[in-house]
Amino acid sequence: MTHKKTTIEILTEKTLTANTDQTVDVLVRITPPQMDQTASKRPKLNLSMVLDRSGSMSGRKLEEAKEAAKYCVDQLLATDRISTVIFDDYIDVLIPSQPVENKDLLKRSINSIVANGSTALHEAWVRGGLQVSDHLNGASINRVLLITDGQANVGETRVSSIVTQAGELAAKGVTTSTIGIGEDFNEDLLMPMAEAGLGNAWHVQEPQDMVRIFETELQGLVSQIGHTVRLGIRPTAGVMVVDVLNDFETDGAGRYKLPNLRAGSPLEIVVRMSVPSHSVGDAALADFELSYVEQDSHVPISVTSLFSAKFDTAEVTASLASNPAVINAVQLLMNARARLEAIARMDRGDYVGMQHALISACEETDVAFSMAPSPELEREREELAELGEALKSRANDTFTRKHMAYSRESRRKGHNQ
Amino acid sequence: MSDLLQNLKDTEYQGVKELADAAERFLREAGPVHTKGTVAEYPNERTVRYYISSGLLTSSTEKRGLKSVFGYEHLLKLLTIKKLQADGLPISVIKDLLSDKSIEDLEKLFGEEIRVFTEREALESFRQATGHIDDSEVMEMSLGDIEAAEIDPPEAPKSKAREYLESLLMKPKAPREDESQILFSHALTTPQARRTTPKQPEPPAEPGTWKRYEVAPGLELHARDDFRPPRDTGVLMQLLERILRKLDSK
Repeated sequence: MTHKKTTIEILTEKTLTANTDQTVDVLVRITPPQMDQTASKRPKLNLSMVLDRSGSMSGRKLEEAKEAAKYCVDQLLATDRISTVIFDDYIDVLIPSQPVENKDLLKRSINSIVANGSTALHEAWVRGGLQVSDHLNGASINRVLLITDGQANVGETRVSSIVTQAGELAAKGVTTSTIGIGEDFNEDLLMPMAEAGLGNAWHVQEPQDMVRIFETELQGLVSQIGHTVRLGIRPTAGVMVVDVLNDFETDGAGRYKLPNLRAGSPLEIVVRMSVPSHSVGDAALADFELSYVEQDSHVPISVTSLFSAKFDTAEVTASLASNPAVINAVQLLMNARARLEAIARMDRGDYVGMQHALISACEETDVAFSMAPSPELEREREELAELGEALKSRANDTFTRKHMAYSRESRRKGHNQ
Repeated sequence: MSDLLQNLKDTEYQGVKELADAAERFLREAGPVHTKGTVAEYPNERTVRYYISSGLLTSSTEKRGLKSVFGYEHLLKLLTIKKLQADGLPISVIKDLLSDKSIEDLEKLFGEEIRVFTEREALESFRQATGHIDDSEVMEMSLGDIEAAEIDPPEAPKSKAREYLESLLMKPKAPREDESQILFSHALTTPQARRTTPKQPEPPAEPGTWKRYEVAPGLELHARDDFRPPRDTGVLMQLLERILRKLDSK
């Protein structure tokens, strides 16, 4: 069987200018292979949906969450496993882990959920993890899906402990994704929890978006082809990595920790490098090594790519057109940072600084758009302008903060939508 | 037996009752095929409905008036279910076995041209060795073995993840600390935070809610929260089915 490989593309905005020191933004585009559609060889799923049914969920939120959960059941195969834990201040294993065989029965159980009580988020998450860990399978994707609109207010409530535990559990093979609904949940718990838990963090702004979010999460799971993804960068003599605009964490060996690889969904990473003066011609600047564990085979895969750049005289490079893909990627990542800065300023009560961060991001996006018009940048411009507008009235700060935090995260993760 | 089946290829049955009756007629004509006393020998309307609702039998896609129309495949599947049940296989395993089987496969299965259950022998020898003749333990053990073998790879019996999570539950509940006060202080205006009365972390002795288990369409078993149902759904379904059978035999 021929196995299609993940490819690494390395792009710069232009040919580099010779005979001068410079800082260069390098776009590293990692493209995982398309999933083999005919073989239907998607990984098995071992899921636990941990669903908040506390009082505040009553009404549309819970109804939509139930719809989404039932949708989830419909999408799964008999070879997948599912369990459902519902919680308020009590925790109830509504559906113990089982193969997804009798979908009607499963959906009837989900239908029976009603809302009351407060939020024992932590223990419920642990119980969901137990359901998954009972049937832990290295070849499956073992995941807890925590769905809540509130804050942990019963049992363990310390954010740092819960986040640490999500990381510990992920290291033992059970990952966690979180879905926060509305504006009362704690994004400073749910986002780090998903980050440490090696899953995804989702924000459901309107109840009717729930099914779409579940769909995206499931799609991500079934198309996952690699995990424990690392990018090592070895610059040649004189070249230095100044910054990785995605703000990825590094592992002990200094390699960047990337999000899981999903079939057909490229990752875009921008590495800012300082490059010493070089004469006209070609020069090797760095070695990129991508490594990951292939989902279905557990085989460690490594793909290396040598970044060799062209240098030409200033006159020549000035006349060259810029690569729009690079401008695009750089701007989206810079805007992700601008959102983070806006959040930090908001938290400090520096509302002027917050507005300023958003306005300058908006202006920079305008410039980028004029150089490299793209639908992404246009959307970005609109969104940043709307954010600035929404924050003027300061009436919806908690909501806008969530919005900024989640959109920063999706851009930073480099998944080109 | 296969001649008898061949004659039924083009027959249609209107409604569940006709299907169940046809199966019974067939089994009577074919002579006694069951020797064990654990399973009702002939399917009746209620068991057929149960098989449909639990996904063992596919429901018909065709309706005439109010009645579903069933055909040869349904009858064949129903007969095969009964046969496998009589052979001592639990419903959940039968379901795995029969899903996606073609008519030809079903005919072979039913006609015993192929034998599928090596576990059966294991069960028999277990029965002989322990003196268990027919009780739930024997059935459940064999079910557990089969399911474990089919679903999970032979991995560590108790995963590190499980041990870790159990250790988290053992920990005494942490007192509220300053950190949480600070982190959640901005939430004072949220509905969650307004619910100030701290709930007891441990569930009180008084159980609150009831769980519903469907035994057959229109028949439910209600169990209070403090009732511990079997963890394994296959076993649970078996339990429910046993209840149904007891009711049927009355």
